Amino acid sequence: MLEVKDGTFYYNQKTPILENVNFKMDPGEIMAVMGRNGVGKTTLIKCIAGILKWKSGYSIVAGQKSGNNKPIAEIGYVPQAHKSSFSYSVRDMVVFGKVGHNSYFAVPQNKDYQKADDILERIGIKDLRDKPCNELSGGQLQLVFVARALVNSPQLLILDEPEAHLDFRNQLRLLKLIKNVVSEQNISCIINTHYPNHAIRIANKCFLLGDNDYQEGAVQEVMIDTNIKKYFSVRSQTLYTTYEGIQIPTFVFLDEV
Amino acid sequence: MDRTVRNQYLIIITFLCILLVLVIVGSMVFGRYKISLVDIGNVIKNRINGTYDDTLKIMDHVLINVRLPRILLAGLVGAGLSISGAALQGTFQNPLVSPDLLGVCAGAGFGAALGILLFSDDSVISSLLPFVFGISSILLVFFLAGGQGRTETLSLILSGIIVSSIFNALTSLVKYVADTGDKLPAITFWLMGSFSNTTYTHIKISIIPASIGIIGLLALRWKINLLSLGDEDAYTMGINPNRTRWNIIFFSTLVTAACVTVSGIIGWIGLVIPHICRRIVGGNHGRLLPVSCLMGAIFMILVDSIARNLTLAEIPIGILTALIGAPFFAVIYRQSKGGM
Repeated sequence: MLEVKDGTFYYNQKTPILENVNFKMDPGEIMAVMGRNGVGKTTLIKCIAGILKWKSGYSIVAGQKSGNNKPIAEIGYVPQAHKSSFSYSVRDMVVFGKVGHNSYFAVPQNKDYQKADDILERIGIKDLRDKPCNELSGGQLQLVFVARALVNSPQLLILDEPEAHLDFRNQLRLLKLIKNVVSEQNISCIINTHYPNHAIRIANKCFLLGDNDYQEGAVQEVMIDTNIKKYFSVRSQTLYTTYEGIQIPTFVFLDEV
Repeated sequence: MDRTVRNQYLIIITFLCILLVLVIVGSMVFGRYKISLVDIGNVIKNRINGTYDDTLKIMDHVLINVRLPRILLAGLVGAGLSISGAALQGTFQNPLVSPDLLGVCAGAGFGAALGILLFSDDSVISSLLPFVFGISSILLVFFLAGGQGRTETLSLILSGIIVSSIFNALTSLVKYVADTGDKLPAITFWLMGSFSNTTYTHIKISIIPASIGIIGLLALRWKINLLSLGDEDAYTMGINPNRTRWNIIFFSTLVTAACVTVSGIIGWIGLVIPHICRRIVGGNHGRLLPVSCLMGAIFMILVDSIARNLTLAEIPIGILTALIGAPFFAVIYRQSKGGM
């Protein structure tokens, strides 16, 4: 599904942000990308999404290699919620997800609007569909952006801190939604997050990014107290809760190191 | 498209088309030379049947050779400037952008001034020079902003300001050395914009580039929506933002240069009309561009009718569009409580 091979990126050659990043993802997998502020999490997902170009190395998504300056239609990218200069209706905004990948002069058809409605219903925000996007709350707008990415039936869904503006009920809803979509449609998902507790709830894999190195692997093995100390300089303790027969680890952050 | 939104949109388009026809007919009727609707019918009948009626000779001339080309040209220029303004506003994510943002009008103005200075008023070269310089201004901007590579909107706008100032300075220089007896007034009048003395030659000059530009912008109208969300979003939604932006700039330059070449510099239309239309059909450029196009044509024909009927000495249309457009804009802005 996704393969990153020797991915390297820098703005200034002396201080590479990403160096020789290698990993693979299978369909149905969710990978949480974690690390301190400014360490390059967003850079990593932007390189995979193609917004930034790898300086060396490459990534392959759904059989297509990065670097030919053409957006890959199989990638659905969800940016952080941001307002636009012009207010579009929610429905229009979701349909825009279809417009770009259609032919160059394409005009959206009835079926595109139908698809948008289906997705909005699936996400549970169909009642917002005629509202102007600029009147939505940050959380609602984030859901609209998720819908916009899903309308194109992507093979790889990339989300940049999707839960940043949400209250915790909406955080839970969004994470559950992502998890369901990924398993139903058997796609891969990369999610950039600041919350280890979220990572461990929804992700199979974790990519921990540090200043000079990274760790990648199963989330239960990577997301542990010693790594939190190493990569975040925070002392933490793991507690366990059992819910619906599943043991859920939770990190309590005690103090900075 | 959604059924209710689509129906609404089709109703608006139909209504504007009818309005456009009414405005054209009305504009044919009103004027210093009195012509009634019946007369128009007679002239058309005369033309179709190929009969020659001496009593209709003057009327035929006024209608077909004076008013009709003028109305057609005003409509074309209004449509062109409005659609080009709407497209650039979306592309630059800024509702305050107008078609002369990247120096097209300044370049065309210099071309016209130079043409008037060096050649006689009605030579082919002097009517083509504004177009040539309008287009070259955008090439200069392209060059200054760093070509096809990663061009930020800010560097484009800065390049536009630079190119505009250069051409404005050159225009001043031409005015300074121009003969104050006849050349200087001619340049000054040109810069104010006017449709007086419009002939079919003007339409022949502008129709092809303006149509190519308008059709190009209409074809790209949905892509403008993506660009207006920012380059990163646009890229991940499947378009190459730089290439698409240059395509839109190219088409809108083509339109603007073609319009300005035959009408002189007419301000405000490209700014005000998209705003009015945004209040009617919303921000989606897929619907905004066609509506702006029609609305611009209607508005320009109306204003031009006012320009030629209001006073004995015709008021340059550039002055009228500003005098009518600016307060109109203020009212809309107040009504929308500052929201765009």
